[in-house]
Amino acid sequence: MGFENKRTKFAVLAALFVLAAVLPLFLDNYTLNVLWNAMFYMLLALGLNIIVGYTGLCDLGYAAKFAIGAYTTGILIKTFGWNFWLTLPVSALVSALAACVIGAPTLKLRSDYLAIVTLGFAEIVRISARNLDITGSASGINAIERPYFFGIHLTKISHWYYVFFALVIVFIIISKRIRYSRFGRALAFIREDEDAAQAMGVNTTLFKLYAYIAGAVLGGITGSFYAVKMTSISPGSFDFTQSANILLAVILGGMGKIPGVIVGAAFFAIFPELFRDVPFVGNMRMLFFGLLLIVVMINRPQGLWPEKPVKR
Amino acid sequence: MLKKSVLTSKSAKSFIAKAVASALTAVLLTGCSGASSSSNENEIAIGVISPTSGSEAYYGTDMVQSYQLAVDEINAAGGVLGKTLKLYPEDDGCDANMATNAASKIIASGADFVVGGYCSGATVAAMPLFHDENLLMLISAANSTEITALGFEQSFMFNSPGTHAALTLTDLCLSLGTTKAALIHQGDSYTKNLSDICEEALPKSGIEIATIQVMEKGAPDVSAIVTAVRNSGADFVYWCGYHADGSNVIKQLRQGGYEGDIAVGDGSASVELITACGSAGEGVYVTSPPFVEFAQGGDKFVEDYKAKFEVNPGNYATLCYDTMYVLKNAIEQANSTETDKVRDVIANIEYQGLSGLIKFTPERELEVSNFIVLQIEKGEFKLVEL
Repeated sequence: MGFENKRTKFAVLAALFVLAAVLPLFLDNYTLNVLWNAMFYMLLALGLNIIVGYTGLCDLGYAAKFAIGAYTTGILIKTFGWNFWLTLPVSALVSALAACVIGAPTLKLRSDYLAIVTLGFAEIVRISARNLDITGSASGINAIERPYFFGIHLTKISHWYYVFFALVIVFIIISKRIRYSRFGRALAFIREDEDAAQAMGVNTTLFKLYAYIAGAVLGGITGSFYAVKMTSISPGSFDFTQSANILLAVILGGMGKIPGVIVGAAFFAIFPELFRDVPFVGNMRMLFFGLLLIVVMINRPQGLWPEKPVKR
Repeated sequence: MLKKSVLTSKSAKSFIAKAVASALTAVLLTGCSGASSSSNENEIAIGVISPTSGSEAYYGTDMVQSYQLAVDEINAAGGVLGKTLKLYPEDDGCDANMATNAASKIIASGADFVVGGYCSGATVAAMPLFHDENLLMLISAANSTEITALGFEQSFMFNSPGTHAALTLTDLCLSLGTTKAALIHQGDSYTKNLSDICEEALPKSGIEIATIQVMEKGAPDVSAIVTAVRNSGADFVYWCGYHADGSNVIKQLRQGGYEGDIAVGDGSASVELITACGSAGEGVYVTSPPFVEFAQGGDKFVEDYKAKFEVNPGNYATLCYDTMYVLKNAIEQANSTETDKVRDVIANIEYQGLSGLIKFTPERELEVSNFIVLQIEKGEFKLVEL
């Protein structure tokens, strides 16, 4: 029974891939930048999805993980003159460490307490970044040099389109590998019924910590790429609104479901831009966006494209 | 078994189809809107990047209108080099990500020049994109020193940087006989920058910094700050932030029994501050950008502006108006719209505008401060001669 469906799935995915790969040949910089923005939110949403969607932890401070990655890369390049690609492992490591520090003592808590802790942590990160000299205080880090990739200086928006496109694919593969591994099934178990999981011998705190670290590392890597794409980062880009936006993209799309999360992030990034040129409505686009969110949440409380419950 | 349930069900497939269709529609829609605004040969296209939505929309809109006023005047007088000027305003929403979208949109629309820039964070995010395209960017309002620190040759800052505000503030403090000053900022790029500069400048004239406080944007209760200010023994408070929160701070300072002088920075220099403060605002000083009412020849500008847009011009109106005329003069003098030629002319220009003398240092910052000191008196701004 699976064959035909698999073929359809493959065909659709291949068509999407080819479409996405050739798009830069036809589109102007603006459209590419909007699509880049969409992919950027996809990366963040995929990372957060491991924490929120797979494990069912409520994280209100995802911007902090992405800020840590961005600042690590920014500081290593600007202050220490590192090559961008070498900063990536460091950025992943620092993100993982930060996740351990915050996660180890707090992941024993149930979700609503965790939400408050993550929110607090995000504020600590942002306010530290704003006041430390090494992070450039409120001005942030500016004029970060753009990297080379096998001799190509990544300056054009089309370059970044492809870089982020590749990243999205890598993140999807990672997400899928996690989801269908023993680790991923343990996470799903924790999400569905933490007590039962514990009773069955799943070390819930440890698995939650792993999930938290995995999400943080993906966020950190995204932040690193964000820093060199934008060439300037400042604490204003990592405020609570940003955390809420990413969470919104995950919830809007459908928690735990990769295509759902991607659609949610794309919708989130593209929708406000569609109204940019519409007179009068243009300035009220966030109002319409809010209304639309409410409508979606009333009619599809599980998100646009939620995960099917596992058949028993 | 789990694996199969992912994408195989019928409803999921139809969903893929819908998703693909909607993604395509989105792409087509954005693609079309981008292509529709191409410039023609008899037109000089000028991109405007400013926040016309969000919390700073008032200023962003004011900027667009001021440019429009200048452009309409210039076009009515025969244009520039026989061509008409046309504005392409884009909203940066005072946000770094949105600013890159707006900047790419301006680039895609084929702009010859770029003006605008209100929020420093958004401006700094947009600048590299224009830099890569070798587009001249004339920044009318944003004045954080990090802008010129980027060292982009094609960017000029038309507003006095914070260092000028600190000079004016020092003069004010000296004339008031201030001994201990408290600074309050909002922790973002612009207000923190201003606070840092004042922290450095005031002690040089023998004025002690009593305390530096941070007020989060939109925080309703500032009693902790009020207490800290009172305990510090400050006889002067300088609010470096924006007017939206400024009125709250001023009111609570007065309610909390603070009796010393209060001054606010240019981010709060708005008539809205007077309305929001009410009686608590009386006597408050403002280190202000060149308010048009106090400029020579400003009356005609205000009249024209009001006739056209039915509102009063805002703080940066004169700067934007002057920016456009500097650009016009430079294009005429260079007899070209080429970035490099126009840039060289602007680098050496001396233009007496509504906002004061426009002349640039080698760092492409304004040479002479354009700050003035105002005081709220009976619900109106009055010019203070120092």
